[in-house]
Amino acid sequence: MRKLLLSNVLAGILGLTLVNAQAVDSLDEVGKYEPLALHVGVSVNNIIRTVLRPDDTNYSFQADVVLGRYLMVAEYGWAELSRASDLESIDIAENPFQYSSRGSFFRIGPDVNLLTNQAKTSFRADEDIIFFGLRFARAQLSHDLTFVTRDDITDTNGNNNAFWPQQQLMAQNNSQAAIWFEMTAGMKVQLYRNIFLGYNLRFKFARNFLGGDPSLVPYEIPGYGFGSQDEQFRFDYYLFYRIPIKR
Amino acid sequence: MKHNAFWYRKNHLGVLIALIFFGLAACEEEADCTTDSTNVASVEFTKLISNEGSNSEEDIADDILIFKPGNDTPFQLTPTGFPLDPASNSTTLYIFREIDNTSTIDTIVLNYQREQTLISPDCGPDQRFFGISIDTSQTTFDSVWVRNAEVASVAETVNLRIFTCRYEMTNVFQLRFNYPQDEDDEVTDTIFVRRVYSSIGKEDLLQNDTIPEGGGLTVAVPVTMDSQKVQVFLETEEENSMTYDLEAFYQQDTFQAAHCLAQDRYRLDSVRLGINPGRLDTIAIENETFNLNNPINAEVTIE
Repeated sequence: MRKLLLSNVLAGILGLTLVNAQAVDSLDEVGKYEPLALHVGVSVNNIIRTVLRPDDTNYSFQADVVLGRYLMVAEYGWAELSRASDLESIDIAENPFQYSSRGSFFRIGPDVNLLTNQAKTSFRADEDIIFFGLRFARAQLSHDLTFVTRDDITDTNGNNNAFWPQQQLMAQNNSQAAIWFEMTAGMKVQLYRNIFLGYNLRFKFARNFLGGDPSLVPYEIPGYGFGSQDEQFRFDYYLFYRIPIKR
Repeated sequence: MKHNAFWYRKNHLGVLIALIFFGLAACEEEADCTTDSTNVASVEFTKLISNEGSNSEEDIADDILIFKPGNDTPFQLTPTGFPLDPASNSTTLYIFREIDNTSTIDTIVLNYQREQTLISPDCGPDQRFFGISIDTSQTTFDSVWVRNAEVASVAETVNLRIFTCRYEMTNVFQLRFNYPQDEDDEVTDTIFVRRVYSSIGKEDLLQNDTIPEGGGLTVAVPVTMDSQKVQVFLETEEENSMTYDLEAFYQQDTFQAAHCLAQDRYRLDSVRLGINPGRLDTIAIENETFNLNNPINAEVTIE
């Protein structure tokens, strides 16, 4: 059983087509880049997060068209979150804050299937797949942070703010954009008929901010993750519905 | 065949579900509250002695107090630094220094950028200060060096180095009149000097002084860059009033030690007896450069 899975993965990674000499690749019959199916999916983990965390609203959707062994993928989502100081924390009680953000994102890019079908005759991507893909992504958001300033000059008792008094400030950015690229890998597995479950492991890199006041760093960039980090690893789990076009 | 298809799919689902749990664990928000952000820009005051060949550091440190506009309460600077206003991208500070019992107040303007981040809900917000530039137009500092434009509590280098220089080059030519002892003469003579004056400046350089035999008299002769020659007159009160003169030739250029301002440097080329040398005899150049550390540039012997 394990051998079967491993051989499929290895074959895909090495680009070897384990096609029986007598078997015929169905892609030869329908065409290498022929549209075979559409998948439309919704991110399950974002729904779970939205349900479990009342301060967060996250939704993201994915649609892809299967072109032989390849998939052209488009993703869209939006997110809102708010964070406030936990007054039970001693450190935070002295330094209260409130942060909120809202925005949307999209990603586009191709995937390639690395898994042969069960008969080992084809890499067609409208069945169970293990894939590798690339994405270009862009997010647009607005966010604001209300906080109390801190002066590190201490008085004789060791208390801060000896030179500058504490002030409450609000930093906001109503039009900040971010772009980044992703390398993604994952699986799509058929659960029942046209219903598929899949995950994406994403490595996000080359994050750049565009426009707006760069002095406020987003806590989370929709579709990306923590805004202060230049690179991110993230998982996404999707539930897909397949719309077959050609068998 | 059906059996194979079942296991084929079941394997894929197993891997998928395992990764879901792995992924859920990995996506927890982890808080790392450590930050080296601070609003205190470290500063180092350096006192230099600007002189030819070196600009050595002085050991003496000034007492420094800083004030902010609208506040009379001083803040002792040592050993921290300049506190940047956390609510603004610019900070004006008044720096009070006591140098040789003289008070100096400099107004320094620090411009910088701020960046706010929410580290995590548990850690709270953080504000970073970076891109420091400094306006010294209202200061008496010789130079300010922004060594590290990013303010951090664990920075390896100071943010700012402020240099104040003491200049030892001068435009004053030190001329000494020597009146050597005559061993054959049993009576000790004294020359009465009515005045010494020069071709530069209308003021007398010296009035009503004496040069005892075996002694000397040093005269400070200011020079200017407009001329390359100064004529010095010695008016004595002997039986008759006598005036002797000599001519000193010098050149001027500009000298700049690192971190200090440029200053004029004067060097003696030659000294010769004038039209009416009288009792002035031999001339010797001791130090070419006009410098506070050189007490005598040239000596002239009186017969």
